[in-house]
Amino acid sequence: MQQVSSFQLDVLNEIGNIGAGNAATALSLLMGSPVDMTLPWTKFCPLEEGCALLSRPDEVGVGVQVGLDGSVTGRMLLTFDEASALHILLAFGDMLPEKDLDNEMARSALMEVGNIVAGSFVTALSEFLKASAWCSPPTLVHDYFDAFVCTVMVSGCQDTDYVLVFKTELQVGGKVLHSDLAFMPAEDSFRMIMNALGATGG
Amino acid sequence: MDHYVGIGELCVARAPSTIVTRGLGSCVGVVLHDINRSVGGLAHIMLPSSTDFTSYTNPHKFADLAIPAMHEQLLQLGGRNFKARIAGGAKMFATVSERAGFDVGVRNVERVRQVLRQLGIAIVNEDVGGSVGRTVTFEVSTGSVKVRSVGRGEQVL
Repeated sequence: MQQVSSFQLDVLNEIGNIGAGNAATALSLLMGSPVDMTLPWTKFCPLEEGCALLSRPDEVGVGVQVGLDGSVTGRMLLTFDEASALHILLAFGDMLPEKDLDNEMARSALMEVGNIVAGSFVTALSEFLKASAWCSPPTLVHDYFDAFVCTVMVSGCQDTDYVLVFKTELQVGGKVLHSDLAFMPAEDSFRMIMNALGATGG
Repeated sequence: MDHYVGIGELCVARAPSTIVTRGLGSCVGVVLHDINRSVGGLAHIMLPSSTDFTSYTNPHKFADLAIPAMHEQLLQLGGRNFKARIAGGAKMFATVSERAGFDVGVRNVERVRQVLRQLGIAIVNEDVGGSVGRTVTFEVSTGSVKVRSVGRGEQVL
């Protein structure tokens, strides 16, 4: 496993928070509801530990997966429990006639939320790296948390054995939602990011 | 006695006991069972091959290492003739951006079959592929393997 210093994680967390702030602004405009998003901490951990951090045994939830391409490749995953996903759909108001997690428009709306969060993160990261990177179209799954969390992490870890998990605090319309954010950079992208973040210090 | 197998873990036990693993997506649950000697095991496999990685922390998440390790532990528990049942290996996201040839669920199932063949263990029943998450409950005394999925109910392997 790679060595990552707490300094590097702090800088990455700061970049993530710039992205989260921009995502919150964009989401408020989209939904017409106040949105607040912060990432209190970032954790670098082996695959299984990452799965365990986002695990909710036997619980069904929603995951939006976004691929990253360009100078930074990898995947991001944004998760919501069902109640939080429904709350987001309600925040869209009249824009969404059907507030049902299996409705096509509702799914598109949640994918757009994932797209905005991942896109804001990638923009903040690529500005820091002075490189260009972008998101591929999002995909959504509504199933057991453990099933899709592990699937995305494993697929994202084709050449690595670790993930970055961002503790996520998301509020929509004043309500605190249960949501998590994970980032699985490809090995070469991970090295590039860590080099840009500065000395490892061990 | 109930045992829970986490992601990338395995567990072997004598009857009477139940071994459960939850939330298999692209991961594969592999059950080995010797009905005559009432021993069995369940592994929650995440990835097909340890040789794809230069370093790793836990060997039991790979099909090529977890299944032989579980087989060895079952031999030590007194098992001799094993049958296998497998579940999982789904494609959870219908995505066009998937790199060509990389569907980890399919690769996991292929590798599990290959490793079991090398060990001379037959797969007597399976519930693999599709796009659903699965939870597996294995009853060591009977060999019954229940697979539960969202919106698809329960089936017995």
